[in-house]
Amino acid sequence: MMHAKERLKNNVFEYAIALITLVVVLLIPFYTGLYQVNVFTYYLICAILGISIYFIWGIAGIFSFGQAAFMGIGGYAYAILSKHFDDPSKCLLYAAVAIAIACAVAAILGYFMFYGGINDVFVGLITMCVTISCQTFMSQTAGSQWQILGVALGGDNGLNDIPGLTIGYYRFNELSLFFLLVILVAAFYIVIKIVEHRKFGYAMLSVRENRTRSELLGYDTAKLQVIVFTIGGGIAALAGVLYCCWGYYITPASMSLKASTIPVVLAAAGGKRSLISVILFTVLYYILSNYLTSAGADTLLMLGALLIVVILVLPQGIFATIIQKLQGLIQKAEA
Amino acid sequence: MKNHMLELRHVSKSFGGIKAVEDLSISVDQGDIHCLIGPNGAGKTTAFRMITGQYSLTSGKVLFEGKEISGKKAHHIVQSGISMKMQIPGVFEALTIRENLRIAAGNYVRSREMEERIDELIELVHIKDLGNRYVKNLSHGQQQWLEIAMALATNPRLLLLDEPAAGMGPEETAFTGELVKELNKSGLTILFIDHDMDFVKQIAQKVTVMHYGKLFAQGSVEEITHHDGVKQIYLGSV
Repeated sequence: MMHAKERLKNNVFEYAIALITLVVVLLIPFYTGLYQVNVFTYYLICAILGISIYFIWGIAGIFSFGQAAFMGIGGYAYAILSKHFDDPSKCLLYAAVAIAIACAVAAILGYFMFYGGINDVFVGLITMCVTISCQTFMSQTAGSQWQILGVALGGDNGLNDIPGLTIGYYRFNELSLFFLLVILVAAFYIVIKIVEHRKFGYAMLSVRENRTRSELLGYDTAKLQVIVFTIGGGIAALAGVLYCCWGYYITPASMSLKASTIPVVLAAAGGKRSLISVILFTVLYYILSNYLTSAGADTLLMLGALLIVVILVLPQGIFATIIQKLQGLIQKAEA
Repeated sequence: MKNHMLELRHVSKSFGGIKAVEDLSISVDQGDIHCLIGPNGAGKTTAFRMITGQYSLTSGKVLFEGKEISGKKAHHIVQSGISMKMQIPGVFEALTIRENLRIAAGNYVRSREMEERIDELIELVHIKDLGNRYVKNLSHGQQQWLEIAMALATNPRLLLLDEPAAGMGPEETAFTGELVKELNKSGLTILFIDHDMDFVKQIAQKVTVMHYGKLFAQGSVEEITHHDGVKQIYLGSV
């Protein structure tokens, strides 16, 4: 009980921001058109990818560029299954199988990396190579010989006409898909916040902070890293499935160097060790990017410049620093 | 006759062509406070790292309570009942004291008993009023005590302390000595490394001297402090 009170006291500002954000986002359909709602759904899918990066990097210290690859694997697997079986009532089953496939790939890759003693920046390099390899491979699958379960992979054009999300006999439209995404992001926030303060959460923290010490406290660090990497791959794969359900297509570009780098940069700039900062910064970046791109600005260049400033001035991330300062002020005022 | 809790049998460790530890045989009896001394580079910390599985052995065997533990991974060795406080405090500086202890006790205490266990541990090492403070804001001595508490959180039967009083003032050193004796009285066997001979005399029952990776001398504190060879290679210089 004391633990819960202490946690609430230390995070009251973050929880307040999370709640206000949830209310504001839920109200979006009431003050914008359906087009904007649909675009915002995409931002929330990007937020789920950001959550997967927070989970592996922010909590457990695994620096990876592989989340885009797992998103792509999840997306492609879902697309192939749903196109092959063509039974919309089994959407959830296809999604579950697609996520399981991505988890298996993450587990195998994670096993060889972490039990092989590979860590830190080398994990980043290997996962970047894996992501680029996935994109390069999928890009050259334009010929008719490249089929899985009779579904042509389509090379650079990818897979189109993927059936939308259906649960039972209910087919999701733009509005209900938006609300589903809001619920999913909120659920991830709550579950991860709970897990962070359970034994598994502290074990992940331990691995992030000092692997030698963790081993000397009896933690099997390699096993923990494989588990975290696999779950992170699963969350990214869910983002891939939802991306297919949202846009009805997937292309190798979803596994490009740019696709794998931007979410990592957004997590770093927002504050990789603060879940709310990663979610908010990701969504705000895409809102701003959409607005500025239509005004002719190069948002990627701006993001790059911003990251340099963040690394030099606010290494904990912009939003994380602001939240931490304001939380500190609240605690000072209380004292 | 006491049982051997820990035995190192003809243990060696080489790094390339350098023999850090060579044909070392030591036994630590159950219930003892046993000290490992020797000049810098004698191989003391390397021996600790071999016991805890951080380093593989080039040759030889390590036995804990009669069972061979050499070749096992560090986390298995810790789970079997050996815990270690490192030379440079291996505490998690970015976290609070209570968070450090939650991590340390995570594998050994049920969730509902966790906070009670943390209270016990921070009271034991005299950092009770600092529980919610970030570890980076603690003094060096407090960090050393926290790490001892973290090592204790794993419920060890053998505690390895690598320079538990290093960098401490006289009062902190005296408290650390009393703490180690108290832990020993409660049934814990302790093997420690230290350079401070006053501290060694305060708590140790047996002393092993290492020199150039080899066993140089072994005996009671009295025997070692009067050993001519030990005086020549080590005690004369401290």
